[in-house]
Amino acid sequence: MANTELAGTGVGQLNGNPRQIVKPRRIPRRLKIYGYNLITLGIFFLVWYGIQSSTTSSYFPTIGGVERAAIGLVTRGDIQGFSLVQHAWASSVRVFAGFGLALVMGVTLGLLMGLYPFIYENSKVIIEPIRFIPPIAWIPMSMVLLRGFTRYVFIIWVGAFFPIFISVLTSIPRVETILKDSVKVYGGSRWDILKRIVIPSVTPEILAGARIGLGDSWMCIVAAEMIGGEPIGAGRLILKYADLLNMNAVVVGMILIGIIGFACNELVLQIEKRLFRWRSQITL
Amino acid sequence: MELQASEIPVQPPKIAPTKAVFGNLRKVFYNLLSVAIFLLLWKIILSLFLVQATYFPTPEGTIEAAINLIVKGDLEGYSLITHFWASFTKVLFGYGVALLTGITLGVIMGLYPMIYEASKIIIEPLRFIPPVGWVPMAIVLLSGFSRFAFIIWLGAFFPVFISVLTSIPKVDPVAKDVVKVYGAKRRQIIQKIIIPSVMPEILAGARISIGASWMCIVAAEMIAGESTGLGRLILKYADLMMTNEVVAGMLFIGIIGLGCNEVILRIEKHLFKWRTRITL
Repeated sequence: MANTELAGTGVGQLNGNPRQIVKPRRIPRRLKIYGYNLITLGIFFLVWYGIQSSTTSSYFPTIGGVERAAIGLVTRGDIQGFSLVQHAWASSVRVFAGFGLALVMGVTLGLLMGLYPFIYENSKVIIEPIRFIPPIAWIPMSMVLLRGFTRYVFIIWVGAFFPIFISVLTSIPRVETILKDSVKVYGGSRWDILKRIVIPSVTPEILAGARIGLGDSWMCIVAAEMIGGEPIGAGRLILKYADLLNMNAVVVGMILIGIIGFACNELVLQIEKRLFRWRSQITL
Repeated sequence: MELQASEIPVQPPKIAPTKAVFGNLRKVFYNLLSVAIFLLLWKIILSLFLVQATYFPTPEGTIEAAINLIVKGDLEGYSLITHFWASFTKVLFGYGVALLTGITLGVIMGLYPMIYEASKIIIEPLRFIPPVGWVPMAIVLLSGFSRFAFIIWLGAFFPVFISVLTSIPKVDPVAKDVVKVYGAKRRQIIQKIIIPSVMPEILAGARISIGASWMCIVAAEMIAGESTGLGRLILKYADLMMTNEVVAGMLFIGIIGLGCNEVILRIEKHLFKWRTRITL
C-alpha cells in the first residue's frame, strides 16, 4: 500500500528502500549548523590571534583591545561624549529621509518611463551618464553647494534612486503579455491593466530594488559622513578614531555599521518573503 | 492548389531602410532635444538662485573647464590621462583579484552549501560593512597601491561571490538528472551543466562589481591621498570651490563607468543571446 501511494506522488520510485526516507537523523541539521558556525568562529579568532601576535605593527587591532573598546563605547560613549546610540540614530535618520525620497521618486519615475518607453529612450543621453557618476563623486559638489542635513539626504537620494528606478523600469516590459491581453479581452481599460496587472507584477521588483538601494544608501552615508563633517554619525565615529590611530575602536564602529546594514537588509528581505511567498527565488 | 499555396510570397517583415534611418535620426533628434531642455533648466535654476549662485556651476563654465582639463591638465600639471590611468590600473587590479576569488569561492560554497552555512556567522557581518568603512583601517595598516587594491577588492568581491553562490541552487535539476541518467559523474555534471548554466549570472555579477569598484575607488582616493586619480581630481577642485571643474570631473567619471558597464553588457549580450532578459 505504502509503496503504491508513494508511486503516485513519484517520490519513492527512485529509492529502492522506503525505510531510508523515514529514518530520523541523529543530530538535527540546525543544531549541526550552529555547531559548525561556532567552530568557524573559533577558527576566525584563532587566525586573528595568530596574526595579532606575529605582526610587528603596533596599530593592528587586537581581540582584547576591540572588546575593551566596545565596552567603553557602549557604556561611556566616544571621546566627545556622544553615545553609540546617538551615532547610529543620526546616521539612520539621514538614511531613511534620503531613502524614502528616493523610493517615492524612483517608483514614480520608473513606472512613468516604463509605461511610456519613448520618454526614457529620448532622455537616455542625459540619464545614462548621470547614472554612472558614483554618488560619492557628488560629495564635493554637495559640500560646496548644500549644507547640514540636506547634504546627506541629497547624497543618499543619489545613491538609492538609481537602483530603484532601474529595477522598476526594466521590470515593466517583463510583465506577462497574456495577463494584459486577457484583461483587454474582457474589456478592461488601460487603467485596469495598470492597476490589476502591471502594478502587482512589478511590486516584487520594486522591493528587490529597494533592498539594493537601501544597501547602497548605507554605504553612501558612511562615505558622506567621513568626508563632510558633522561630529556625529557612524562614519564619523570611525574616522575620528582612525585619526587617533585607535584601531580597536575603528573595528567596533565597523561592526556597528555592519550590524545596522544587516538588520536593514533582513527587514526588507522578511517583508519580501512575507508578501511574495509564491516567488521561490533564492536571495541573500 | 499546392502550387498556388507555395506561390504565396512569404515575405519577411520588411522594414524599409529609409524608415529605419529616420527612426534612428528621430531618436538622435529627441535626445538632442532633451539635452537642450536639460541645459535650459540648468540656466533657469541659475537665474532663479542668482543671489547665491557664485559657486553654482554653469553650462558654459563646465564645457570650458572640460576642455581646459583635457588640453592643459590640472593645477598640478597632471593630465587627465594620468588621472584616468592611475584610477584605472587600481580598479583593474583589485577587480581582477575579486573576480578570481569571488568566482572560485562562490562555486565551492555553492556546490558544498554546508561550507557556506557553517561560516555564515563570519561572512554575513563582513558582507554588510560597506567597503568605504574599511578605508580608515586601510589607511593605517596598508600603504600605496595595496591600499586601493584592497578597498576595491572588498567592493567587488561580494557582488560576484553572492551572485555565483545563489545561482548554483537555481540550476535546472532536470538538466542535471538527464546527465546523471546517462551515467555522468559528479565532475562531469559540474563541467557540462553547472558551469555553463551559471555563466550568465557570473557575468551579471561581474557587471555589478565593476560599478561597485568604480564607486569605491573614487571614495578611497578622496579620503586617502595620492595626488593622482579621478576622485582626487574632483576633491582638489572642490577645495578651491571651482565647481565647474568638479562637474567636468564628475562627467568623466560617469562616462568611464558607463563605458565599463557597456563593455560587459556587450559581452553578455554576445555570449548569451538565448537569454531574453532586459538589463541596463
